[in-house]
Amino acid sequence: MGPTGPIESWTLDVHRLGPIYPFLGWEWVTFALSAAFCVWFLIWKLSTETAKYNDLSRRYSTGEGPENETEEKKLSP
Amino acid sequence: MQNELTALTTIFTEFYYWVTVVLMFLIHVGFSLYEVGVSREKNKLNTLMKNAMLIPVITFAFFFFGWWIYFAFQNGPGITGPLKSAPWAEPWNELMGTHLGGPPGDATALEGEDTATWARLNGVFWAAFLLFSWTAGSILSGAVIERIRSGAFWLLAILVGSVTWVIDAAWGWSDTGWMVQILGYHDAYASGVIHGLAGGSALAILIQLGPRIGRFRKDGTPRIFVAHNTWMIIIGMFLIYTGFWGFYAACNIPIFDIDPDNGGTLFSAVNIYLTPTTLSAITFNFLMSLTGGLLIGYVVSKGDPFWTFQGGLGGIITASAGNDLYHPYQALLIAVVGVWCGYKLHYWVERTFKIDDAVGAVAIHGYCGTIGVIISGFVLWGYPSSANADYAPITPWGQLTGAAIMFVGLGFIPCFVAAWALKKAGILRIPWQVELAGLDRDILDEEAIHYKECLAAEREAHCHYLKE
Repeated sequence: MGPTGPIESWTLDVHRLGPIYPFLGWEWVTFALSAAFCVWFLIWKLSTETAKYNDLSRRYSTGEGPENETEEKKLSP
Repeated sequence: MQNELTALTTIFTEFYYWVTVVLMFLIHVGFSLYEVGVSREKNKLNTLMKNAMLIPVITFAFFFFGWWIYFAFQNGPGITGPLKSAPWAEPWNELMGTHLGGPPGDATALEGEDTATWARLNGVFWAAFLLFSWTAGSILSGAVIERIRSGAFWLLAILVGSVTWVIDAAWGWSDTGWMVQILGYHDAYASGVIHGLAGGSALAILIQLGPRIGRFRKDGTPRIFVAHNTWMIIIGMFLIYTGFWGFYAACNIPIFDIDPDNGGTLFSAVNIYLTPTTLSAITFNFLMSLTGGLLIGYVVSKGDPFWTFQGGLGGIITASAGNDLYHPYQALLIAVVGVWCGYKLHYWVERTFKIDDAVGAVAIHGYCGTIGVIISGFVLWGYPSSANADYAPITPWGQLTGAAIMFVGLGFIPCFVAAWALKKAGILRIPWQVELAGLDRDILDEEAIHYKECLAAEREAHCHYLKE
């Protein structure tokens, strides 16, 4: 199997060397994949955060939830 | 690179920016420490993560489109010309990857000069601007702690860090920006470009967000929410000073021929407008404006550590617009004026409009930066804004207009609209139940369960060993 990029040897004319990363020509594809991942991250964050706060506000309103030792409890007499 | 001088200059410049980027990372460390220190015990982990995660969020946005905006929008577009071509900054371009500077292929819009210049400088210039973007995001982050949702904050951080500040940098912080051409706008170390804009953005978000529960008494006077760790605040501020020094260095090109038209060659450091200054001069002025800010901060706050250290930062920010040219005494006095005004404005705005700015970011960045831009218009009145003789000179009205564009036009208005939209969508602020319980309450609950389980397991093991 040949190399994944434009470099087969470092003894070539280095003055002519431009990009040397692998999979040259696939930049659009990797850009699209990276952008999709980042957009997914933001959507995931916004949706899970909304669900989390809905759940927490319900629990805190009803006094439901595990017993805990929050700072307020630690400080209370 | 054709000869040894070109090679030395290029590789030194590459290394120089690389070092400034590392130094500037300390700004973010400092902001994180500062912001977490100011928050209350019940919110500190959430505050940390909200700030820390703006790093990846702004970085991907800046890679995808922020860097391109900086070059493409320098004419407006539509004010002094069309959208500019900047293939080296497109996110899929070969110069956004490992590149040795050889001539471009036929299938690319790049020219030989592009690859020769940007192969070694694209990444370090990009990173220097990116670190400024993180700073803009961090300025917002501190102001809004303890009640904003992280997801909403990150969207706003992308807006400011990768869109609005980059547009204002293209307009007023580049050698061919339309504001430099038409207004003679001068802002060497970004008083308005970053600080004024981020302060205006923070103010807009704070208006939409509202104050933290319990921040104001019924008569409208503010309560002080005691910071959970003063040392984190102070060490954070020292680190911000240190990183800010790196920022000053990053705003200069270290070796540049400032006499190309007269047949001679005179190398000097130049600022972002390609007009000469020296690292010596900016070191004088950085320290003297820090000094002026610390002194007046101490005086005006009657020795309060928080405002004294904030004063040091505000002093540098105020003088930054003209610190490439000022005399050190001027830098000191301008810092004094800016911090005094910023401090007074902070409390006036807080009490009049019930604005809960947890860290004084609007004052120190927004007011001091804007005041600094305006003052520089008077002190540097008539100076050329550029090496290009056709560009307008520096004037008070040019600087005043520029300051308004930064604080209001690109700072306040876009964030006011965006924060309003997020508020309407119900995703700007955390529920009041969560705010009262604390943003870390669920984590503390989880830890408490594990702590009790571990104790029980240890007791069980203890009994087991005693029986043996």
